[in-house]
Amino acid sequence: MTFKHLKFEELSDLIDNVLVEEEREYYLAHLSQCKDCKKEYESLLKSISLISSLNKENLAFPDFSQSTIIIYKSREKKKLLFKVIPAIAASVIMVVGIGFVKVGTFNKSSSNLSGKLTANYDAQRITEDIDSLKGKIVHVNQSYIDTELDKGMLTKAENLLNNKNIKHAIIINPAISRNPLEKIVDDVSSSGIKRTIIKDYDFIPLENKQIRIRIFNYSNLKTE
Amino acid sequence: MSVNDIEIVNRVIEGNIEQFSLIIKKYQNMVFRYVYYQFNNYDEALDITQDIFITVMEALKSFRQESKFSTWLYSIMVNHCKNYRKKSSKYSLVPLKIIKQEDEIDIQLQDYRENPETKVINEDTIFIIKDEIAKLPEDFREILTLRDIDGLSYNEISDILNINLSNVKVRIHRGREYLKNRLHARGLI
Repeated sequence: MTFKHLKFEELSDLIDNVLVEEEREYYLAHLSQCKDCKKEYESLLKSISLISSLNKENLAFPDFSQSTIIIYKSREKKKLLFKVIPAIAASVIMVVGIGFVKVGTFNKSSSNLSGKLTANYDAQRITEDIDSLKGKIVHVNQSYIDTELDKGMLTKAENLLNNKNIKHAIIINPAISRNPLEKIVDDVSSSGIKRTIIKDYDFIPLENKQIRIRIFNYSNLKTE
Repeated sequence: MSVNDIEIVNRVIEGNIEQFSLIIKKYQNMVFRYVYYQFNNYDEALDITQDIFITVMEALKSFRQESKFSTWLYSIMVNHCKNYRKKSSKYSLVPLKIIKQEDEIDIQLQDYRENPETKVINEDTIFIIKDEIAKLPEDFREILTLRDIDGLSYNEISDILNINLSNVKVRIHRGREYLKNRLHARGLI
């Protein structure tokens, strides 16, 4: 039997019984002969016993099951509401007869009504596209709709809008105007699809990782 | 049993969300106990436990069933407590006291917990143990709660804390040594 004292971690492992059998027997044999180690062992055992006693403490608390399910349901309803907001926005646009610009897509023989329906169809499609790009609609008025996207989605968004011939402006500076100057809007619409930097307005802070795209409505639509 | 847990989880994911109450009833004691000993504050523990179950429920679809459900739930529990502590540490805690001239009077809030076990171990002793647990470094407190209060195995702790087994052992050793010295200094050992 060696008189080298057992280390603290060896005593701890012995208590947790995470030793191989030979080690365990050796340590127990040592403890039976070494008073210092035996004292240290019992001291550790007492410490663990004290903290373990908290497991038997009867902690009274309310049942969390019903409250959790109620809160969960409430949050799910809110999420659902946020999902349908783009559709609601599109519906509002339809009612007030506002569509989005889509150059050259109207048939010459189309009636005004069919033009509006087409525009509205596009509005719905656009909101779905924005949703698919993980973007969100941040502002809608009679002249344009502002969408907010992650910068990583810019190329994809541009391709999508260009393919559909939809007039838009990429707002590059980290802000967006609440009340855009007509001059800038005219510049954009009169020259067809064009990227325009809009700046120096009444700004709303925009997160750096995000970009806004302004999609113009069909009041500037060029029908053939 | 984990098999039952997974069956229940699948039912919840399929839309029978009321079934989640079975999960909560099964684990709420362990979760509340863990949270309570992390913060040593009854009211905070109530709020945090509620948040944990909502988080678990909302994240249920992301449970890939690669581990036991309990392990996954405990991982969320541990991380939630860590995040809460980080957030709350940004603000200094103001002790609930009335300052009356030079005297300070602690307001004793009514606590509805029954504690018959403290009759076996002196109430003062329990108070000191909780106090010392609360003062432990976070790594030691979380691992000693999981091991010595909740009685989880080394393997389970390894999965929950996402650290390897040897680190689990080392942390338990150091935590126990630290706490033992503290309890010795307080005259309990």
